Amino acid sequence: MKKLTSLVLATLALIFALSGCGSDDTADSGTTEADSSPSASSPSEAESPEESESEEAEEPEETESEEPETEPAQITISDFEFESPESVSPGQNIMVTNEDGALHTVTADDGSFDVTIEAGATVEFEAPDEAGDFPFICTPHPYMKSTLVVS
Amino acid sequence: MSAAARRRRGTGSALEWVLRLLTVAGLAVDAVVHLRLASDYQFAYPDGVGGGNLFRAEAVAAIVAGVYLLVRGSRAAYVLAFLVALVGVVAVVLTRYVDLPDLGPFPYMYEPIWFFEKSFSAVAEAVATVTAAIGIAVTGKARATSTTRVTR
Repeated sequence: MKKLTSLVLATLALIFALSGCGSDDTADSGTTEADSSPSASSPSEAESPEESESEEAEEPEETESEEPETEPAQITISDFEFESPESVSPGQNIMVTNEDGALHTVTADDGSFDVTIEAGATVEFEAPDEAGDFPFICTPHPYMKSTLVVS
Repeated sequence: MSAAARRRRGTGSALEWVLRLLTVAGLAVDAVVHLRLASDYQFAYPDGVGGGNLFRAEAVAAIVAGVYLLVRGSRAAYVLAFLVALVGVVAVVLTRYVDLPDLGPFPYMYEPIWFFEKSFSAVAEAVATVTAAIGIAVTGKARATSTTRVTR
């Protein structure tokens, strides 16, 4: 009787064990792809919206915090005169728009920057990383003068 | 060349020498300024033959006309000097005030601004144009007078 009882218990234990493993195996093996894939995808789907939401929620914060630094400053060349910003940040991007029909350059006296802007074109360059005043001219029109203040 | 021959050509008088030197000086300024600015203008106006090459052509013409006038002082020399100086004045005024498009080999060169060298050159060309015109008149009058004397 004891043997029978232990045999029954052992059999039940084996069945329980196998049934427990089997459910995992079926999921892993992908035999029920239709079942498994939703189960596999559902967490990701469930997570991805959260992630995307969190990313979306974070992104605006990041862009808001970075925009003041990355937004390019503007130098406009019109009628052979520079219109420069009052000051720019170190390393800030600067957009130069040439509204004249002639080619111009933005050339620092100390060589910190030197860009050529074709007639009607816009060119972007990076301000020096160090603070200071950077006088610049247009090389073919040296009477065109201005100063880039990096602060 | 004899004094009579010089008088027949209208050359050698004090007035003519003043006119000649003023015209030559104006052409010299014209040439020097254009040569100095040529490389910058070739860079700024590269279309067609290029602004710099036009400047060099104007400079060479001014040098040839100036040397010819200084050596000969003839009416033909004044005419050549007048034409070269006039072309310079017309060109600088046109490119300053008229937004002309590029035309054939001539690039777009509208530059609505005056600066020292440009103004200096324009004034020198204008002076050379006026003095060369007077020189043409003086040498022509002298030649007409000498022709009348010979006829009598």
